[in-house]
Amino acid sequence: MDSQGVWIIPGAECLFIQQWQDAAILFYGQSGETHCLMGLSIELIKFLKDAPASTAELYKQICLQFDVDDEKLLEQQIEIVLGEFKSLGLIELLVA
Amino acid sequence: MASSAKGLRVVIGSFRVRVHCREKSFINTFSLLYQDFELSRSDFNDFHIALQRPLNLRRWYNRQIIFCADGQSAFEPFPLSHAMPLFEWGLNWFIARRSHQYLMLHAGVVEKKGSAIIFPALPGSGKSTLSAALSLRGWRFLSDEFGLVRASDGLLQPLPRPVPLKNESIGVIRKFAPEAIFGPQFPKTRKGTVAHLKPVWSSVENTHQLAHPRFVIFPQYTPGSETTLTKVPKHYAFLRLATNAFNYEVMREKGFFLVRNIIDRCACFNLTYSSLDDVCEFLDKLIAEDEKL
Repeated sequence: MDSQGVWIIPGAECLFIQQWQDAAILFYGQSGETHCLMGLSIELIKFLKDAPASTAELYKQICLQFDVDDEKLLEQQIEIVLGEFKSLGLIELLVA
Repeated sequence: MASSAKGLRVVIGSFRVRVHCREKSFINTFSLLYQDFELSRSDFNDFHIALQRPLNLRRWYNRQIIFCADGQSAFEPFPLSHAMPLFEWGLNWFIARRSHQYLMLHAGVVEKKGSAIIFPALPGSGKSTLSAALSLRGWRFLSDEFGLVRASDGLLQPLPRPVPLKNESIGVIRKFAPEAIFGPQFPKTRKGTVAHLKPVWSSVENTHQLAHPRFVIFPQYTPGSETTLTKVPKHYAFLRLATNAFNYEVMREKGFFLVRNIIDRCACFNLTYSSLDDVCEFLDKLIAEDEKL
């Protein structure tokens, strides 16, 4: 798990999320792009919108909020989602 | 309806349009189709449109007409006989390019008993034919092409105009409503044969009365099918509505909030149909049931 820095959403104040049941639509003012999110990705983006966090902190938050059966699988899924967010330009890693 | 040397100034929806054309066939068709529209007394116009013959050599052997928007030629010339379809398409283009005070959904819109239905759809899905049919069964017709969502309050601005029916749809609507008034048929346009259905008087008369969106329904004409309505998830409806808008990206977060508010307040469905009589009755019942709630 990457613990070298914290993930931030640049211009988090212009990121808007609308959730309906198990899916959400996100508008990101920095890029002008609209995205559709589901499942874990919704929870991660909500945490990051509230405050920057490291991968480990995000993992802890998810574990606190949800029943986690397979911790290893969750770790992998978080890494995958964060990688996707990064490639979409939604988040950046700040290294101290 | 008479045209002066300065052109005719007519109120179309919330727009004041100045139209100038000296071609008699266009003036006759325009006078028929726009006969119920209010004339503008204002010197201020949103759009200045001129239809005129191009000053090129072809004018001597192949009569053509060009669409000028604010003095600039906007498209390739059309055959002179296609002046009316050119005017309608040109006005669509002009509105889509300029009217960012609205979120412009690519959709038909009709209203009954205070509830508007938005029919977002791609060309060929039957939204114009469906909107036209409903308008001929007592629904208020707001548009077959533009769902204009006012940015300030999210209400729908009517833009009733002649409905350009294409190919088989012309005969379908003539049979469905023999009393419907059509302009001439224009064969061999870029979209096949086109004929414009005159919008019903009551819809034109109420053009300044905004409507509340209540349903978002994605129509699909499927020959031989039963009329069926299937609920769709809100996020799916959002994406289809936004990607179908002319200026969602241009409006940025304002566009996001306008689409979100529509989807939040509306029930969203897919509609499959083949019979216009059946689908009109079906949607009448939907509105009646909604009114009881």
